[in-house]
Amino acid sequence: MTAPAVEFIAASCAFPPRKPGDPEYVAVRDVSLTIAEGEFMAVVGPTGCGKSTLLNAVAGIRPPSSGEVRVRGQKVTDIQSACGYLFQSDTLLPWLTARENVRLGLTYRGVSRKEADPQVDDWLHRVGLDGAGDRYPYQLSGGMKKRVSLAQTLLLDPQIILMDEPFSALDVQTRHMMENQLLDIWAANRKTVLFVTHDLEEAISLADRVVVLSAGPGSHPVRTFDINIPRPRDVTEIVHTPDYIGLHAQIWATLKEQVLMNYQRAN
Amino acid sequence: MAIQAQRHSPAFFWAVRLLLLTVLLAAWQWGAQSGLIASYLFGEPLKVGRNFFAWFASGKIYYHLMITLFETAAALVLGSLFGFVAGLCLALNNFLERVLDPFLKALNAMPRVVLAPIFAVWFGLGPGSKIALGITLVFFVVFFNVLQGVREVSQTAIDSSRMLGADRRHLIRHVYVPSATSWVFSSLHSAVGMAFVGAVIGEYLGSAAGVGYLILQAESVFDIDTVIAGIALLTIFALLLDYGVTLAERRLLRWHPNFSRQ
Repeated sequence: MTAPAVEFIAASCAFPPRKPGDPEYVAVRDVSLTIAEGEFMAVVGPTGCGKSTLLNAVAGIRPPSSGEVRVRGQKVTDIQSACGYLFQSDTLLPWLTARENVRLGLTYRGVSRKEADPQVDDWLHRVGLDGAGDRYPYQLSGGMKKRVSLAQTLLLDPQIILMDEPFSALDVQTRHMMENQLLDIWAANRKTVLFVTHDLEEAISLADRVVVLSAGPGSHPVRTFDINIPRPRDVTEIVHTPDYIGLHAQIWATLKEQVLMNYQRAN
Repeated sequence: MAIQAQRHSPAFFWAVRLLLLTVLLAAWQWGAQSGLIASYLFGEPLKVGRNFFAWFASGKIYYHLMITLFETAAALVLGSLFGFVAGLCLALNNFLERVLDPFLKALNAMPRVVLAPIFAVWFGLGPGSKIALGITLVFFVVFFNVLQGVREVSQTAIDSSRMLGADRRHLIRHVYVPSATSWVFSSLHSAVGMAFVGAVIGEYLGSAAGVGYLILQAESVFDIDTVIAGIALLTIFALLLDYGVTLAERRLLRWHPNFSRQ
């Protein structure tokens, strides 16, 4: 039997205190979670519950302070080159054109421009940016920038794709378009996806499974739900199906408790 | 205001500027001739102009101008280069930065013009001492901007690049240096002025050639018109050098919304 794509084994992530003497801040505590190869897993939870911390732990940007995270059976201690990471904020380098940004991962690998460009152009085409390759980021809209980031990440063909609320800054129409595009690309070769969001609709429409995290600090998975909605899906239409409505009510009941708890703690 | 100004063409603004300059010069000339302004203290535009063109007609100025421009350019290039390298080294090495921070602040706070006599002793009365003075002035402007430029890079941008496979060398080349470069260009405009200050003050305090030397000579015989002609000459070349920086900026910062021309 092969190892799961990602495994959290009693993983906790603590941050050192701001002032000496204060207790350390534990963002997530005792997380045990398994994501199978080829699975699309969404993580939802109230704001500030350490969703991004989980992704950083898998990526190796900040490995857990206790317990462990394993990627394909290997303990994570450093940056995971098998993972692609799509961040919430804009991470394109402003001094590179869209094409150069998409090519960046290959540039870091020492691939020459000539060798890289067929792939780069193919990805620009796949995300619908054929004519925009020579534009600089400031000349692109928010949605176009996200598509450049998506192409930049997926071009390297990562085995595991980590996504941190990648579409949260986009307007609803653009977001639905991007979500459908993501599903199309994902359906083509079914990579493992760990998708973090605070938007339950987005989580249900995209994922195979949805995990609800508890309110922070020290948050942990409360419950996992299987999303048995057949694929291919269209995120704009799926919301009207009875399956979706039933799941939404069910998951929201769990999520609501955590959101309320988070709200009370904050006040 | 800004929206209204858009209606007029650039040529219109140049015409207005030229008119303003002419009026100011005419008023000055008239004041000097009528005795309203003491011309032995404030000079006279026509005489300034005559001296100015006499310099070029006789060819006397070229030698001095070349010396001053050479000192300025050398100070600008070397000061920027040292500032860039030092800024990058310190920005990428936390330990070094923390240790050296108070020393750098002290050096920067020190009025560096007072170093001119020491440099004259160390490097002689030739261009060397002026270049050294210019370097101390330019260095810190560039240095602090590089430091800021590297700090300005967001942690997410670095994490993102590392996820794409960047090692430290890649980060320096593709992330830190380009970010620092944009900051350096904003500082180069003031650095051009600083380099001129270094050259001219240096010449002023002890030299045998250069525009600063000409100004000093004229001042010692109370020839205000020549002093002003020298100042005008330096201003013109400072503007030209500044324009050169602007051209380089437009080329190198094409990606920046402020510098691109569409």
